[in-house]
This record gives sequence, structure tokens and C-alpha cells, in this order.
Amino acid sequence: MNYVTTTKQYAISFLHSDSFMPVMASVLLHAFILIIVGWGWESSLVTPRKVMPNYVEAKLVALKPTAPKKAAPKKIKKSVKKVDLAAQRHEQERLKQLQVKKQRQIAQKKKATEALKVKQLADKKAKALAVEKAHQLQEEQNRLAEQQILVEQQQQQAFADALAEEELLLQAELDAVAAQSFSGNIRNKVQSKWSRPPSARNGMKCLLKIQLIPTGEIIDVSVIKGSGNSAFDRSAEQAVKKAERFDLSGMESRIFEKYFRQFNLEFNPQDLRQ
Amino acid sequence: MRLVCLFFLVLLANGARADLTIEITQGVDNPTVIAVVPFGWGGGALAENVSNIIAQDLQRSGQFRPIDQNDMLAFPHRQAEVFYRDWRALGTEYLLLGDMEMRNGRYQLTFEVYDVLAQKKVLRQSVDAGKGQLRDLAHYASDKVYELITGIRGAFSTKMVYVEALGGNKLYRLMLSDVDGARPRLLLESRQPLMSPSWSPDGREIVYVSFETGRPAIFRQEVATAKRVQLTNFKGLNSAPVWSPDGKKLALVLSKDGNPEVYTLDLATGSFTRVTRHYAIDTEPNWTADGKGIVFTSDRGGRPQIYKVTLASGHTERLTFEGDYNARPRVSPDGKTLVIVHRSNGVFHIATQDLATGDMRVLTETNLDESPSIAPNGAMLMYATKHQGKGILAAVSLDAGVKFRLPSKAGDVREPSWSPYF
Repeated sequence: MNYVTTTKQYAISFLHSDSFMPVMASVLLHAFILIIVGWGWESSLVTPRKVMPNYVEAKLVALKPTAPKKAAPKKIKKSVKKVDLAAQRHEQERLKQLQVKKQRQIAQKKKATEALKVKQLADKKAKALAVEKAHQLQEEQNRLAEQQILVEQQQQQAFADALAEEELLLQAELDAVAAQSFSGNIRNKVQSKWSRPPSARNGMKCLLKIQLIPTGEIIDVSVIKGSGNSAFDRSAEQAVKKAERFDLSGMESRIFEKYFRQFNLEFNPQDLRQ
Repeated sequence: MRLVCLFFLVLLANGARADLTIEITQGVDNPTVIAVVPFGWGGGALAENVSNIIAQDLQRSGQFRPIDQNDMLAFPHRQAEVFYRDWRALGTEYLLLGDMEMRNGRYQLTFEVYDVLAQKKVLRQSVDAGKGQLRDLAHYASDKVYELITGIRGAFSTKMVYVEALGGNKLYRLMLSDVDGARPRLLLESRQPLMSPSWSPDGREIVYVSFETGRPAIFRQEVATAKRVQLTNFKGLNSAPVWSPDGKKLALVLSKDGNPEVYTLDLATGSFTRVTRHYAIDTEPNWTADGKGIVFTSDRGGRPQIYKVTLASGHTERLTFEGDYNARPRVSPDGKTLVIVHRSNGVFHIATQDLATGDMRVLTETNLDESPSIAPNGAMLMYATKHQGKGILAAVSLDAGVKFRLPSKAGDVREPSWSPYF
């Protein structure tokens, strides 16, 4: 219960603070990136299933039209051979018949050639149609492939973004670790200089704002929130002023700007009487 | 879900801005380095060196380390003459300047305190005093400087009474002095023992036990006029009187009913009320800070231990459990700490016990430490101890950080009682 109320209070006080706008902006940006990444992953799972079967079907279609074209000429040759087996009863008859047969033959040949021609034409047409169909399929395929590339590119972009984000977070984490060791040095130095007045008690709190320049020299100390005991507050200020400068050697300027150009010191004794 | 969102927001807020905050939870509690510059004075030689007295006051508190005059590069008397860098080079944290002059037959002191590290003046005050009051002037300035820097009211202007025994207990003296032991003044002299002096809360009277009548009797006496009244004359023990915080009653020990019991005496009516009822010895009463209860020593458990009785209900509880001897309780002005005489390994020490937690802390390491008396600001306590076979007075801060002995007197010194604020 308590946790909820304190969190709410924190949130409320936070809403009133001047950091509200930048934080909201960063929240929206994060939310946007999260949505992009989420959508990208989902679509990448569905699209390959649609594309792969189409590709296989297209190959089968392209083979079909060549099969009937080879079967047709064989039938024609067989019918021509049957004519050679006629009798010799009457020469004339035979000749007549021969003639008729020849005529028939010719007619048949004509028919056959015509049929062949028609068939060839049909074949040509079918072939053209098949080619066109294949072409269309190819185009469709290309289009799909292009689409897939586009999706892949989008996915890659989102992934890269996420990676960059992660890298930033990692960098921030490393920076925080580096800052921590410098914080420890600062804490030790101030503690070694802090002589508390006898009126100091556990639970007293004094918050100071410190401003440094990159050499570590203290250029400003001010009380943000006093303890109510002026002797205590003055002792805290004096501790910082006695420190004069902090050792920041080896600190990257990024870390200095982020953490140490301006920071707070909270004096909160734990080792005194109540 | 909302909680998660809030948590996320909080995380983001921390990442987005918020200055780094480093927490400082420990310190070193070194004494504050102060330079008390010799005060400006145009006249002839003075009876007292005022700036020296202030430096000694501050040093004795344990909270200050005054800089030796020989180390000072200059003796400025006003702000224009202050070069902060020089003082800082000496490690000075605070600088006290003063200028004295004679005005209308009185000494006038104007003093200023500078925060050397912040390079600014933090106090300026004027005070005057008649002839023969230069020490009062000094103690006044010490009080102001102490309060400014420590946040605790100074007690350098307060007094103490103590008992001095001369010539191997042939002569007893009740003495009054500054808390640094200076300006001793005789209040009462007797060939019979004098014991247990204690102040009234307004600082105008004391009560004590005197054997001058042949047996112990309790007297009250005005400090300024030496006017005195005998309060008790019972058979047996009449001892350990202490004034209640409201000044209307005394708590004391009488054995008129057989064995020592704690009583209260209403000073307006003169009526006695018995507080403890036990066949064991009940003695050394002291009032709680709110005046609603009395702490006392009793051996009802077989060994001397501290008990507390609530006056309204008569409810009694035991307060000390550590060790086989705890006696002579005194309650600190804030009511949070009990100061006691604690024996461990056969040696008597002064110890404190936190009344809320029961934590005991031994403050002194010498043998035969007794009769602790707490300063009205609760920062120090005075006690009697033995040094080279002689009774002397010593002081220790309530956090045990500082100890010092008061200047040794001619005879045995015992039973100090620190006055309230005047």
C-alpha cells in the first residue's frame, strides 16, 4: 500500500518537475521503436510460407506444353504405311484404286499437313501463351522477391536500430560503472574532510550542489536543501571547500559532462548518536 | 499494470536527467581549527588576557583546536586586514577577531567570526563588562562562538560547586568557581564533613549535606548572600538532596523508618512524601528530565543497580543490567541519556546508557571515578577522580571524545556539581 502511494507521489512530483517534457519525448520515442521492432519480427515469420509454393508451381507449368507436340507426327507415319498392302485384281482398278488411294493419300497428306499446321499453330500459340505465362509468373516472382527484400531491409533496419539502442544502453552502463569509481573517490575525500559539529545527529540531511571544471577543481558549492541546523550545513560546505579539487585523471570527457560537471552531495551521517 | 508503467517512467526519468547524487555518511569529527587573534586594545596592561581565555575555553571543549599565536602571520583587528589565503594556508577554518576599548568606565568588546573557507563574516557582536569581569566577557564570547560553530549552546559562563578537603580531612570547604576552575570562592567552611552539593534549577541556591550538628543534615543556601536554612534533622541518614526541575521539591534519602528510602520534600509546605518502600537500600535519587519520575540506586536485586520510579503511579522498573555495579545515576538535560558510575573488573568508571536502547558506553578509564555531574548543554560532564593519590576534578565529553583534568588544588577535591544556565 505504502509502496503504491510513495510511487504515486514520486510520479506526481515528477510530473511537476521540469524534466517532464524531455522524458515524455523519450518515452514516446522508445514506444515507437518498440512497436516497429515488434511488427517487424511478426511479419518475417509469415511471408516465407506464401512465397515458396508459388515458386515450385511455376516450374511445373513451364514443362506441360512440350509433351503433346512430340506425339502428333508419329501417328501420321503409321497411316501412310497401311496403303502399301493393296491387291492386284484389276490393274485399272488397281490403278484407279491407286489413283484414288494416291488422291486419298494426297488428301490425307494434305489433311495431315493441314492438321499439322493447325497443330503447329496451336502449339505455337500454346508456347507463346506458356512463355507469356512464365513471364508473368517471373514478374510476379520478381515482385514478390522485391517485396521480400523490402521487408527484409525493414527488418534489418529495425534490428540495427535495436542493436544501436542496446549499444547505447551498454555504453551508459559502462559509463555508470566508471562514474561509480570516481564517485567513490569523491566520497572518500569529502568524508576525510568532514568534521561534524557535536550537534550533528543521525538522520540529519543536507544536500549540496557542486560544480566542477574538467580539471576537478570545485568552482561552486551551494546548499540545495539544508538540515535546519546551520552549524551542520556549514560543516558540510566546509568539507567540500576543504577538498578544493577532486582527482578526475583518466576520466573521459563524456563521463565528466554526463555526471560530474554538476552533481549533488548528500550529507547524511549514519555513525552518530540519534 | 499502472505500477509497471510508473516504474518504467521512473527508470526513464533517472536515465534522462537527474544529477548524480553522492551520499556522505561518515566523517572524521576532527576539532575545528580556529584562530583566536589577540584582541586589539589601546590601553595599558589588563588583568586578564581575554583572547587567551577564549582560546582555552574552546580548546577544553574538545571541539576546537586553536592555532598557536606564534604561527600566525598577522594580527588583524578588522575585516580589511584579513587575508584569507594566509589563514587558509595554516589550515584555519574559522577566524575570531576582537577589538576592546574602554567606554564609560566599562570594557567594551566587539568580536567578529569569519568563515575562512567561505571567505565571509558569519558573526559580529558587542558586549560590555565592568572591571573585574574580563573573564565573564571572555566566557560570553566563547559561548557565542561555540554555539555558532557547534550548534549547541555554550556553557562556559556557567559555574560549579565542589567540596575540598584540607589537611587530611581536618577542614572541609564548599567552593564555587568558574567551570574552568578559575576564580574559586569559598561558600562554607566546616571542621565536619560537607557532602553532596547540588544546584537549584534557577542557579541561585544550592543544597548540601553538612555534619556540623554532629549528624548529617540537609541545608539550602543562597549563593550570593550565603543565607542558609536547615531543612532536615531526622535521626539516621539525611543525604543526597537534589532539586526537582521545576524547583518546587527536593528528592532526598532518609533512614528515619529503619533503612535508607527515597523521599520527596515539598519546599513550600515542608511536607515529606515517601517514594520507595523496600527493605533493601534505596539511595542517590535524581529527577528525570520531565520531573515526573525519579531514578535511584538500589541493591534490591542483590547488587547495586539503577531503577526508575514513576511518581504518579509508584511503578518501579530496573534500568541497568550490564555489570554487577551501577550507581549514582544522573539524567542528561535532554532526558535521553543516563550517566552512571559503572564498575567492571573491580574498577569504577563513568559510563553512559542510552535510555531508549539500553546501550552502555564507558567514558573514562581511570580508577575510582565518581560523582558525575552533567553540563546544562549536555555536551560535557564533570567527575571526581584520583590522580597521584589526590582527589581531583576531570571532565569528559558525553561522546567520550575529550577528557581533561582541571587545575589541581591544594587539597582533595570531590563531588563537583555543574550549575544550570544563569
